[in-house]
Amino acid sequence: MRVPRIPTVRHGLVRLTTVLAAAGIATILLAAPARAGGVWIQVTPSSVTAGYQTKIKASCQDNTNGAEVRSKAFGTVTVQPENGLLAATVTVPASLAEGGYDVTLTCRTGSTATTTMWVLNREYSEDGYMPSKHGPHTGGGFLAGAGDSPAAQVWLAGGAGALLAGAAFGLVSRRRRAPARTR
Amino acid sequence: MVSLALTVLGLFAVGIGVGQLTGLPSFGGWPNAARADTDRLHRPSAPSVVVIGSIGVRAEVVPVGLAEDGSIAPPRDSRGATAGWYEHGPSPGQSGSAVLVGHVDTREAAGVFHRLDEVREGDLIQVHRRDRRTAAFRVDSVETFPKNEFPVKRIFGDHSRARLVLVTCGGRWVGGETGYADNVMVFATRVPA
Repeated sequence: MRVPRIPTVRHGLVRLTTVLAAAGIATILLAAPARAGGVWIQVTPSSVTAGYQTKIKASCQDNTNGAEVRSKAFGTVTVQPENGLLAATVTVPASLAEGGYDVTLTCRTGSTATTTMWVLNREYSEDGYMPSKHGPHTGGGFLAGAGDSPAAQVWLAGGAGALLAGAAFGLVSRRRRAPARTR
Repeated sequence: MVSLALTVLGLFAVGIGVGQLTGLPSFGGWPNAARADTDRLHRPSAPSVVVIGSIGVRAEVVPVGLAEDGSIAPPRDSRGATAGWYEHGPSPGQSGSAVLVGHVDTREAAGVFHRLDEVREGDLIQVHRRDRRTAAFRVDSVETFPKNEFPVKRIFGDHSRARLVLVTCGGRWVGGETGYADNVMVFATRVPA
């Protein structure tokens, strides 16, 4: 009579795991297309110095046809099929102001995806932000034994010693003289 | 049998999920997760702390500009314990070279980068940024340049990758305007954190 009970428990467990695993798989199946097979756009590198090139990689559901990518940074370009994705190389104009620029992919189906490209533009000229050929002053000389020169320390110590000695001598001589006056 | 397969699949999936949520590396995962995280480091953000484990450095970083002679100004910290980030260059993690300068010593004490010449190729450097993200760099080389041959073109001419350049003083003590005769520099390239 006891024997059938164990299979029942086991059955319950099996059913429970099956339901849980099935739920898990359903979640993956629902979530996966949004990430893996969805519509996305990527700029590599996504920070770029004005005047230089960067690469756009993108994906629509169907990557056999090109799609349009727009940005205030470079206008409109067409990303073309390449290794199962869509790709294009763009040059960021040298005069473009520094900052973040939206880059938007528009697929033929109408779906869109947007990313941000960060443009760096500092005037690296002699009058601008280019440092001179002189390296930074990052040493004071302590490790070379040259920081506070020994001479200075000798002067300081000697001077302080002389001052103390002078003060002490002054005090002593005043005390010696003082009793003589009261008498 | 079916339930076993489902359980195994479920475990894998949960593993990927946890990996993506925590940023820990998992066996697979979808490329988007890594992609998104990489992109965020391209956003400008000033660095706050630099960590060089191999020489025991963990130091505060403050923004610095140019000194009167056109050189990158080291931080105005009399103890030389903080590093300076050249604020007119890229942020650590952005394309191009982020430059950090630090004292080898001051007049009174050893500075934040006094062991910079002990850094070796392959060492890891982490830079924490004010946006609470961390850029990690692997050391490519440690080199010495005469004080008046600071390699500006090499530093500011390469925008192809995200790099980090650390600068301090080194070589013979000359004194006067020059101080030490050379600059010791560490060149590193960004790696996934």
